[in-house]
Amino acid sequence: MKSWKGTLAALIITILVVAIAVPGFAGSSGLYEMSVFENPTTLNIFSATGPQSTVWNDFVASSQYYTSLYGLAQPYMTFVPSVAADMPSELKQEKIGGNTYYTSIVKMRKDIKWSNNTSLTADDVAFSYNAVLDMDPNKLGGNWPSIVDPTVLERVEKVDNYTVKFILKEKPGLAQWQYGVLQTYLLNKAYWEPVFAKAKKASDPVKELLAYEPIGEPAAGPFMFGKWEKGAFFQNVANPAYSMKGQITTFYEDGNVTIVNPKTGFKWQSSKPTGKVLLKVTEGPNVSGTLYRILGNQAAAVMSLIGGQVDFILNSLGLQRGFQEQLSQAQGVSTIENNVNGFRFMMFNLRKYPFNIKEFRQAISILIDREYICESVLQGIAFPQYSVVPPGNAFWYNPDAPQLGKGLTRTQKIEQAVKVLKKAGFSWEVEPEIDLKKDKLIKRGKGLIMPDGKKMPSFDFMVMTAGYDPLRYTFGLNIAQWAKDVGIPMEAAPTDFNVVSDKVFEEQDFDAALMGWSLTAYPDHMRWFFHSDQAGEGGFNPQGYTNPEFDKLADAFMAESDMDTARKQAFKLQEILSDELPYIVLFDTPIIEAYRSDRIEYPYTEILSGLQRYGALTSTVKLLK
Amino acid sequence: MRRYVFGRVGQVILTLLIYITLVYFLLQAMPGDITMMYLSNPKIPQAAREELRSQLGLDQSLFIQYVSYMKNFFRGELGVSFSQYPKPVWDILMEKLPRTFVLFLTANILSFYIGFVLGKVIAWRRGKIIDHAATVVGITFWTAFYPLLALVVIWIFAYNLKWLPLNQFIDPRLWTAAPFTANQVFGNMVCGAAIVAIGIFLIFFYLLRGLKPSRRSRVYAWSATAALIAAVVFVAVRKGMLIYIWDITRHMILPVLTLTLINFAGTMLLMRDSMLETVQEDYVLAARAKGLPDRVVRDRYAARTALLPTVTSLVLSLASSMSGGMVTETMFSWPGLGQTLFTAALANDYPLATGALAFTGIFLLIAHFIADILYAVLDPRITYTGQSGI
Repeated sequence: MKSWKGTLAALIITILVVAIAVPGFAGSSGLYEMSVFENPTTLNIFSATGPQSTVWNDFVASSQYYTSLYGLAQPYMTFVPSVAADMPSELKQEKIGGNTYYTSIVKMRKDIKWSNNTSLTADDVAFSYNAVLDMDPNKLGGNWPSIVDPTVLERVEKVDNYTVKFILKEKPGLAQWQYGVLQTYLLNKAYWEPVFAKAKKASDPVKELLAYEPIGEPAAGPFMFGKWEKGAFFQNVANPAYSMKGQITTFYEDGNVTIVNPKTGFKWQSSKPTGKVLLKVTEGPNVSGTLYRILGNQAAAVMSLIGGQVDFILNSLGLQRGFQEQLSQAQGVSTIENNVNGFRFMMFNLRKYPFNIKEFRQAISILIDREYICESVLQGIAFPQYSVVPPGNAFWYNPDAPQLGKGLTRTQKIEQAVKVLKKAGFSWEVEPEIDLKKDKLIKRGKGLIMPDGKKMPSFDFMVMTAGYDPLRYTFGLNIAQWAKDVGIPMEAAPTDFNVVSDKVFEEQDFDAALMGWSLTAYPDHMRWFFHSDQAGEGGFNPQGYTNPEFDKLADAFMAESDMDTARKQAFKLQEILSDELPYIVLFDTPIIEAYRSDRIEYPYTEILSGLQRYGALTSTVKLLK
Repeated sequence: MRRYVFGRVGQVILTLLIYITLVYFLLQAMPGDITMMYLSNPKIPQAAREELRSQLGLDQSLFIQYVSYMKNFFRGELGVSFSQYPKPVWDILMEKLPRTFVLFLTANILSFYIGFVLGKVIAWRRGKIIDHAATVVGITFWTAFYPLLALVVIWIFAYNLKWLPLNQFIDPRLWTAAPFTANQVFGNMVCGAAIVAIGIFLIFFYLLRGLKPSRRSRVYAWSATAALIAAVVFVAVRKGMLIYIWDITRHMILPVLTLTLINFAGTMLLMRDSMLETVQEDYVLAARAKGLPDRVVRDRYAARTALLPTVTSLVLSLASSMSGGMVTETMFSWPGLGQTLFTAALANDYPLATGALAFTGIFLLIAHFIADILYAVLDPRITYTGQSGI
């Protein structure tokens, strides 16, 4: 008995000694290595854009393999042609088969090839749209109905090998057209057509299509699939036939952009550029491939970055603030901080009295000292925000929209809030008393009487639990305290995220809640969050805001195809929302990222929502060693 | 005995039914459903959400969903995952199982072995320094905050000393060119380890029996052991798999070490208590009186009987190897069944979460059943027939 136990012990000790003595495996040359925190789940673009549309699938696969007719040139997010040769023709009305449609012609580049060296032609483009429409974007689910919107797009026709015609059911606005339909990923018809044909014959075509595992699918993007060891890593290799390699995009001070591809001779410019060149970005890829290591937590990723196992930590939420200092002291590591395109906000259920009184919401907004919480309580890890369009989205942000209560002292805020409430007909059993000179609250308000003469009952303000989001939790507790100072009986109720979502969006049974949104570059969220047609169950206006003036302007904004006019409309929408306050915007946090500056170099690091937003710039990053 | 076994099988099936039902309804009781993920994008129309509900069967009543689930369950179908639609739950579980099983099985066997040996020794030397030291060390690790201990172990051995890999179960730099998948290698590791373990057991069982085995027997036993290990290594080399097995083994050391440090004290203390009772038995006294060496009395007389209570704990811990552990998997970036269950529950992926729990539940129930039967086999005093034992 003793002997076999001895054998086992000897074996274990031997393994330990040898494991320590033998070094790890050397780095693969030319690979850009990143850490991700979750497994990608599919290579199938229909799944990855459909029911499995996670950022991780997009990071490692979709955004790397596919291209589209148009795209947003980074870092300035300028709308530019990608596979298209120029901007789409003006939309015009046309009678086709007895129906009236809007049509637009898109001319394509002739120098774009798939990774199998065949040309990307009008057949591929028409197939990419028509196949999705044929399968029904709503059934494909996920993001499909928002990018191939069946309420807008009728079909796409091939005009010649490099020209397509879009036939649209209604005149689309910028959000649906330039920022929607025209940025759909393009598929290789020769590869996917038989797959579609087989799926159509199945009893459940959508399920059949979504279950398909694409092996050897040609890519038109900078990378192709390499290897995937589930749970451990995902590898892409550079697409040797990538047509845009070496293409130079130049951004000018006047907002113009030029694109030149010295290899193929392709040239495009938005209009004649003048003034200083802001930035030149040369398309790669400059690496032999990309390797995504799947790590379980941020601590592991940080140690891997410092240890040189990864070059960048790729996470849609960035890094926790606590790691920033550790990383800034590490040799060869640089940290980046960027604004994000989103906000966290509080909202009232405007179906309930007195939350539907604008002055009540204004008083609350005035009382909230965003700067105090962000700078003093949260030590600068969040920044105050007042508008539903974040300042980082500079083109669309209206700096002149009202910012209630900004710059006031504690007592000035109380004074102004009381004034606003009185104007709306509120009164108190015991009115709050303040000393403006000493900036001191002498007596808290008690027994707020509503304009209808009744005493305001206490109400719940659902905030996220400290474990889920300590920032929202902190804000929530402080807001409730400040409200109580003037006699508003608000009770902060830490609540699980799923419960908040359920109560707000499903049941619409709530008084007030603190939530957050991440946004896209085009600010059409203003329409979705505040239009009265979204106020029903399951809509995105669960607070029940209704304002015919706003609805009209939001509809016009959505239908607008001229950028300057749309901008003016967006500014006006922000003014209305800053006054009416269906959302009281509170704050957001910058995104913190880190990379090995001794090993890689990016063409730029200042970009809204950080490098992660664009997949860590895999096609433009350069390896230094 | 046969009647008892049939009765226990019936109980196992009934318990499983109740367990699955409870799991199913508890998961369904969570607020919201998977379609809430569409609420993050206002451009996704309500129609798409309704389509998804319909595809996943969420538009039907809870009772119909339950009946349909149970029908499929007893036909061996666990449905399709909601969050990875339309991937079958079974495929997802099978993808994670090998790496979970290898890690947790190794850790459980090792911690049991260390706990058993230490428990036996410290009970034999009750009140001596080794008793106090092992108890204090064991209890310290047993009560340690697990994620912190894991971080400390990683920080010392991987980050600072750089002796062992930082994270994950393989080194991607090696595996990008591998002709095997990790699961194939895990499968071969399990087979190889099983062959070696059974082989060594048989070798020592047949060659080193008796109180004083001959020198020749010892030489044969060790030579056969060496030959067996060499043969297994040779096969791995021929298959071109050795370097990959080696890579996985290196990556296993830190999680296994951490799990062992946390868990060995449980078995050790159980074994110690059991031994303390056994050493007072008359047959142990008789063995000593016969003049048998101390080691023989301890190992062959006292420890064999004292082992019985720890068998249940071993069998149950072996079964729980199937369920993995969320914290270990997260801390060591070793994604397995524990993490799958956790993320599935968070994402309202009922079929995947129910499937993962059912999978673990089945193994635990079977393990419980085996433990009961083993008791009767290992201890002749125990009988399930109602008659007194031998």
